[in-house]
Amino acid sequence: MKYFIAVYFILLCLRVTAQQKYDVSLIPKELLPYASAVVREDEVTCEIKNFDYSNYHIKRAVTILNESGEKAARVFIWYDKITSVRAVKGIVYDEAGWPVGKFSEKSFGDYYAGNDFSLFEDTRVKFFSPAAVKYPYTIAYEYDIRTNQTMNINDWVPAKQTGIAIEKSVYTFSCIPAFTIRYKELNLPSKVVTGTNTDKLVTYKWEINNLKAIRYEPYSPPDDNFLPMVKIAPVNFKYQNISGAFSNWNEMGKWVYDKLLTGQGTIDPVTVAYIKNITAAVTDPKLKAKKIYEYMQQKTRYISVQVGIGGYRPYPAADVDRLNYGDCKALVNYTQALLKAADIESYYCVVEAGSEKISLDPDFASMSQGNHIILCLPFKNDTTFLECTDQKAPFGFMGDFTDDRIVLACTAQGGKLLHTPKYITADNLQQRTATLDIDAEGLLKGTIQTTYKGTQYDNREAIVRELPAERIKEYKKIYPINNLEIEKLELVQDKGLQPITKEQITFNAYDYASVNNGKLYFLPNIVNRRSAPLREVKNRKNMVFINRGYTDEDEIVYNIPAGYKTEKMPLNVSVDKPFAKYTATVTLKDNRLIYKRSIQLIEGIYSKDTYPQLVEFYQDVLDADQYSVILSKGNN
Amino acid sequence: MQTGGTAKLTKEWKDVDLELKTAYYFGDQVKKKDIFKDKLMPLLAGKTDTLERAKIAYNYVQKNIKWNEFISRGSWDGIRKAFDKHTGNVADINLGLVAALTAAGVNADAVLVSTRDNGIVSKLSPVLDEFNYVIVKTDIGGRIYLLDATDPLLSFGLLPIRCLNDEGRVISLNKPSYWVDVNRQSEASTSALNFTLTDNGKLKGTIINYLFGYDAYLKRKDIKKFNSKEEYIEDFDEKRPRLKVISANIANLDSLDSPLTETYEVEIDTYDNLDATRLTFNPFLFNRITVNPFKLAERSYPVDWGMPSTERVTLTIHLPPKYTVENPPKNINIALPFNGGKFVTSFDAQANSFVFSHAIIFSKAIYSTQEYPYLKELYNQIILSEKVDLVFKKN
Repeated sequence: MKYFIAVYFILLCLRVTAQQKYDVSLIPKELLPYASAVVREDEVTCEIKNFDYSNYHIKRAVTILNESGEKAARVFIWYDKITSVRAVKGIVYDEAGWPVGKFSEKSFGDYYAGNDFSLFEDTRVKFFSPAAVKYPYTIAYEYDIRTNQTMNINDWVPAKQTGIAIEKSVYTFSCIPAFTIRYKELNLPSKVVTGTNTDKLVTYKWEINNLKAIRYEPYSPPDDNFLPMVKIAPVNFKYQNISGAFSNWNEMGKWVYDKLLTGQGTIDPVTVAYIKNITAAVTDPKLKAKKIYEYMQQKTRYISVQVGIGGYRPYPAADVDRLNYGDCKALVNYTQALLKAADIESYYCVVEAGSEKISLDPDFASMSQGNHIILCLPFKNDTTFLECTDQKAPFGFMGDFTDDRIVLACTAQGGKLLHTPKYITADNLQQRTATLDIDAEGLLKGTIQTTYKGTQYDNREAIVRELPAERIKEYKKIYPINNLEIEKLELVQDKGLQPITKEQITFNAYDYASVNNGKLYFLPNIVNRRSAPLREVKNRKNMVFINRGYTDEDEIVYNIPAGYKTEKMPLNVSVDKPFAKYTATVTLKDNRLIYKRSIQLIEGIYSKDTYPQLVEFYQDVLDADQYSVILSKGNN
Repeated sequence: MQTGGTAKLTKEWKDVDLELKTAYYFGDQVKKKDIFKDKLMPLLAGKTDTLERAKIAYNYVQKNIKWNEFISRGSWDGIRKAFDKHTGNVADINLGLVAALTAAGVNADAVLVSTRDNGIVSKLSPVLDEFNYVIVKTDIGGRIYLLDATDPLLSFGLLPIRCLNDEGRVISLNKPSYWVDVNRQSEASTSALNFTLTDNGKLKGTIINYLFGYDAYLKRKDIKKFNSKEEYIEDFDEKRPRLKVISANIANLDSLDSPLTETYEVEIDTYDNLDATRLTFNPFLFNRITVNPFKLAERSYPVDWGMPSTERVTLTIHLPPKYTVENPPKNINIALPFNGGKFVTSFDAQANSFVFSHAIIFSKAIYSTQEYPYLKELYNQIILSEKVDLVFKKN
């Protein structure tokens, strides 16, 4: 009996004293600030035993501290026709680390996960979200993935999201000695540890411990400038039945050209003859290309279909010619074929598209970089790039989607890194002039003219596509003029080689000025006001990154009623910083009140100490933009 | 098909009532009060007040099941399973709430509603498919409370805006069903700002915000996204570069039935210096309205805000001795027809200080198309008066 009591007592002690592995109180205190979730452990292993397939094992435990951390609790497992998922299991723990619930593969929902703009993709996702009703709690799970290819190897990015601290994260890659990899470590506190394991596989291991949560910092540079990560790519690989090898962009471009593009560019002789015919009268090759591009735009539509290797290989130009649709690869390949019919050389280019300028990494070639294809026309002294998926884009216009970044041209001679055109601060110009009448009752009327150039050409793109009545509704939303009544609206796009959007609005607005005791109060900055300050960030970590510059110029003349004078200090603000310039003035000449505003943001990367100045800059802009004129009659 | 029998295609409410009362996904679940008996008894011990008992049951459901973000007018796998797994759809949770209230000895009925996204239901004949959501009604002390336990931050009697849509149909187990108006709640905020203009051009003083009803709920949701009140306050500070928080306090964050109170002691950079003989000052320091939300000349549909709202701000400014307000504003009192709402300002100057207060009150949840022009004009008047700056003149 004594024995039993002793055992019971020992067990009781264990229960009372031994802390559970995922007890929330075991999280190091320094990891808590700004963290809505803490990754307790994250172990990913990737194993390649032959060239046909790779196996991943993922094991992860995350503690969710509050509602904002819920996104870190969600389990997404992506798969497709060549990727299978196995052995999914997990447990949810309470605050003290005691298990409160289990889940397995059948607890997961299973969903189509292609892009919503796609006609068909085979990507699917298994999704699970735990049902814990009380914070904090911990979710721990593991699963296996097998993918029948060795071309893409998952990168390791231990902390992608803001608000998530990492206690421990480990990535182990192992492969047969014949399989070699290239890797690039970025922002890592410690380097790789290599070795050989008991299965005689070569191993690479990266580990990171006690990483504090990242806070959201506006104007941060692209992720690979500050997030710890490792990029991995194979030297020799197989993607189902296609094998390949490359160590640099030149070799990769060659491989793409030989294995994925060759033979896809044949088109019907009738189409070739047609192209020769429509371009026969044009001699300048650039204008010839423009003609062909515009023909392609009116003929085709963008439709995305991505299945297996079809995610990398365009389908034949002859198919696009017959069906009149294709995805970015197919449309670029088709346009290339049409240009070839007119003897114009062009390159199929891989690009990472998006408003944030992300270049392909010049010293690290991999198939996992880039998400879009564009076409390059290497004219002498004038390299032009074409976006082939947009029926409305002007010839050679990149906009903010693919401008100013390194892309890979895949040619018969191998891959070449090219830089797409850059739109500088002065190019991205919005210019506005207006002459307006304001009367003693506060009624404002007149005409505003605005032109948009460079990347700002796109500013009215969504409205241009609307019907006239809808356009007017949209303008009422974007122009903060109370009681705006648009009498006439003209919106024209010049799709020449330097595209321009022109807008002219004739309008009236009663009560624009407030009348009080015979005085008129109104904001002279009519439609280009900054509405919110830029938030401060204490102890900022990142450099200040201005992705793209622009220039806005406004000059508005108000004809004010006779006999009125300004009552207030006139506006005269001028801020000149290395990263931005702003001026705003109000002057009165007879009965003409002239408001001038100019703002420039200058792209570039600036030290993190610049950030408070940027906050101050925007606050100064905000204050000056809110300046109100007070006009009074008589002898004040 | 000619079988000789009749099939009713258009039903009456009594047919639908019967269908719902006997349906597995609805009536069967409401009756399962035994699920909650054992759990609730210890919590209810010694409590005799009905409202208190109702709140305990409501709290219990809020804290023991998590909404899986699915809306439905019926339970999928039964509430027993949902409560075992601590997760369920809207109907699992709220039919469970009816059962839990019944277990606590509080009258409760399920109410079918259609969410705002889903549109308004037809009143001519019952169309069950038009309802997509279930809430709960209980009558305590002569007052009707409508409840939804899908969010633990909702106070007793408060519904999320998604289900504030026209009327709901009360499905009682022992009475014929009937309509109930779901618009029974409001949102309100009262702010007291008290500042002194210092010689170096700063406004120093306190901001106190009292938030009631739905306003309090939304603010609680905001604050709970942060790890701590301190991180929320830091965020509040960082979002306002001209404002520096010296100290702050948030009260009643977890006491859902009390108004949420925020107190900030702050310093606001307002002028570079006080050298000028005239300083302009806009007394609408926060939430100034500059753009009319209503832009159309006329509307085809009513304006439905879901609930009435009240916003009151009282601003007290102590000026340096030499300054006076040159252009004291006239008091404004503009009202909508039929007590629909009003905009009121009042200005009261003392020796070296003044009190400026304003209130924007919308006393209805829904404004008809006939009322629309008045509503639009009220906003126009608010904007006009918010444009007018005060001028502080140095004597």
